[in-house]
Parts: sequence; C-alpha cells; structure tokens
Amino acid sequence: MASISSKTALTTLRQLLSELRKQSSSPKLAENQMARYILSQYRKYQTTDQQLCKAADEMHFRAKSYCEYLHNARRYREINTEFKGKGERTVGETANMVGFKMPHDPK
Amino acid sequence: MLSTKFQRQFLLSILSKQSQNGGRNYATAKRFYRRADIVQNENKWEVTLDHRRLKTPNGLVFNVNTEGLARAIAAEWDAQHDGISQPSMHLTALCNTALDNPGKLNKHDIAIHLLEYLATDTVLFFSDEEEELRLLQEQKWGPVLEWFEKRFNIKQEVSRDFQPPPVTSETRAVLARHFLSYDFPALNAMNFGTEALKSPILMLACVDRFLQPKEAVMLARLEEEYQLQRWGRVPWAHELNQVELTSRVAASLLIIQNSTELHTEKAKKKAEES
Repeated sequence: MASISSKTALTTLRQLLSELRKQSSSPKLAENQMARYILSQYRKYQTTDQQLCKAADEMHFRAKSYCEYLHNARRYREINTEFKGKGERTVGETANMVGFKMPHDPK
Repeated sequence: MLSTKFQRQFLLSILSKQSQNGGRNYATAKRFYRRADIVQNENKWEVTLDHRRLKTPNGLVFNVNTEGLARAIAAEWDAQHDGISQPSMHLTALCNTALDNPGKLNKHDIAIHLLEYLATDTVLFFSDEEEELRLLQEQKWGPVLEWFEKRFNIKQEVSRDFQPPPVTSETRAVLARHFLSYDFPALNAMNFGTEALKSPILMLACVDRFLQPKEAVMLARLEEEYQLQRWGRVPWAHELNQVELTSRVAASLLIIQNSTELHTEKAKKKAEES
C-alpha cells in the first residue's frame, strides 16, 4: 500500500469529495477551494506518497484523518439538531400549563 | 481559561441575546460572509471571510504554517450554513488556542500534564469484576500495549483495580523526550486528543499511524460498547459521544501531522544549506 492511486486511497478520495459536497455552501464542487486542493494533492502524490521523505502511506493516512474529521463533525451537528432541546420554559408558560396566571395578566 | 474580563463580556453577550429571544436558545452568531478563502502572507497562510481577515478571540490575526491546514479551516468556516457553531469547529479552536495560549502554558507544562496522565490511562485499567469484559479488553487493548512497549522500548504494568499502575522514571524520561520533540501547537493538539480519548497511549498510537481515530475512539469506549450490547444504544447519547470524540481526535491528529510535516521540511532545507 504505497501509492495513493491504489484502490483504498481512491475510496477515501471519493468519501472526502462526498463529505465536502454535503458541507460546502456552494453547490458546485469545482468552485470549492478545498476540493481543488485535495485533487491537486492526490495528483502530486499519484505515483507514490513516499517522495519528499514521507513515510509509506502517510498522505493516505492524512486523507483518512481529514475524511473522518469531516464525517464525524457533520454527524455531530446532525444528531445535535435532531435531538436538540428547546431549552427551558418561561415562567409564564409554566404557569399556563398548570392553569395559573401571571400577576400582571388580566383575570 | 479565559481571563475574567473576557468571561464577563462573554456572559453578558449571551445574557443579552437570551433576553432578546425569550431565554430559549444559546447565543449563536449568524453567518455574515459569503466566501471563506485563504491568502498567503509571507510564509504564513491566513483565512479570509469575504475580504475580512479571520482573527483569534484575543484579536491577533489568525495564521497557520501550511496551505493544507489553512484550506481545511476555510472549508470549516464554509461548512457553517445558517449559524456559526463554534463549539464544533475543532481545527479553528485548536489553532486559536495555539496562537492565543489563554492558559499561558509552555511545552513543558503540557508534557508534564501528559506524563501525569499516563498513570491513569484508560487502557491500563482492566476490569476486575466482569470476566467477559476483561477478556475483551485483553484482546483489544493487548496489541496497543504491545505496540506501545515496543515503540518506546519500555515496560508498562497494567492495573486490575483502582490503584494506578507504577510508571518508571525511565518511561517518563523516554516519553518526556518524545513529547518535547513536538512544537507547541502539536503538543496542545496532542493534549486535546488525549483528553478526548482519556488515554495518552491511544493518542500516541494515532500519531504513529498505528490506529485510526475511529479505532482509537472505539478502544477508548470499549467498556461502554460492551455495556451497549446488553443495554441498547441511544443515538443522542452514545452515538453523539462517539462522533464528537472521533472528530476531536481526528482534528488534533490533523494539527499534529501538519506541524510534523513542517519540521521534516525544515530539517531538509538545513541539510541542503550545509
């Protein structure tokens, strides 16, 4: 597993681009600076990621870390919005629930 | 961590916003920019939101050393759609902490903290109550501990009760040297990841590419996972916790990779000059 153009590395690339598409604010991935950068890095290390004194698999590991970061940060936001509480009720609302009125409300 | 003045300002800003919307939600800033991009300034990279430069909470100009990290942070700001949810922007937060250093720490403080942490490392405490769990821990944590001893050429005892296992002075010396070989942003990130995993050993294994963040979080939550098999899984507690920890560990790992990359580049340039 030395080359970044191996099958597993390309799977990671696909996942990365898919995560970026889900999070980016612009609909087109070609306009996304990060997507362009990732593609250029993949091209740069296409033959091997061992050039520039990098350990075997180092670039792929980095791509995987970034992919996991994006994926999990997104999932966190999703779960958080899905189950988010509305916060505390106001005194007025609580009073209303049990049939009381606030002192300044009309009788 | 913030100074009391900032804390008071922060609380006031939250309180004033709460009273505006009936005290129901936490204060969140709306997205005020269209494009998040990067600019190069000498040999540093800065993040821009439209034409404004991003700043740290203390008002310094935000900058990082590599293009990749700057781009990742710009992408992080770009991923904020309606409101800016700063608590989940770990890359930005880690770089901010490294630049502002609100705790007034230095590398030695963090290294000492991590060494103290080692004796209470999650993977050093094996269950003494449940046989099945202990077997699972031995099966899953065993290879990591083996890697740890081999990688640093040390011996580390484990604990089977609440008593922390002894850490020899030799181990402390080896690890202190290892920790101090990182620069401040990387050590700060290492601390952040360690606190998420509750385990310096698992964090070191991630940095050394022995484990992926996902796997490390799984090992850190081993007992929880074991209990989940019996009691069931609740997405808003267990899964939320799992994804949060994984994103924290992955973020700190990216920061560490970023600064180690810089170091190797520097080292090579020096060799060429001489």
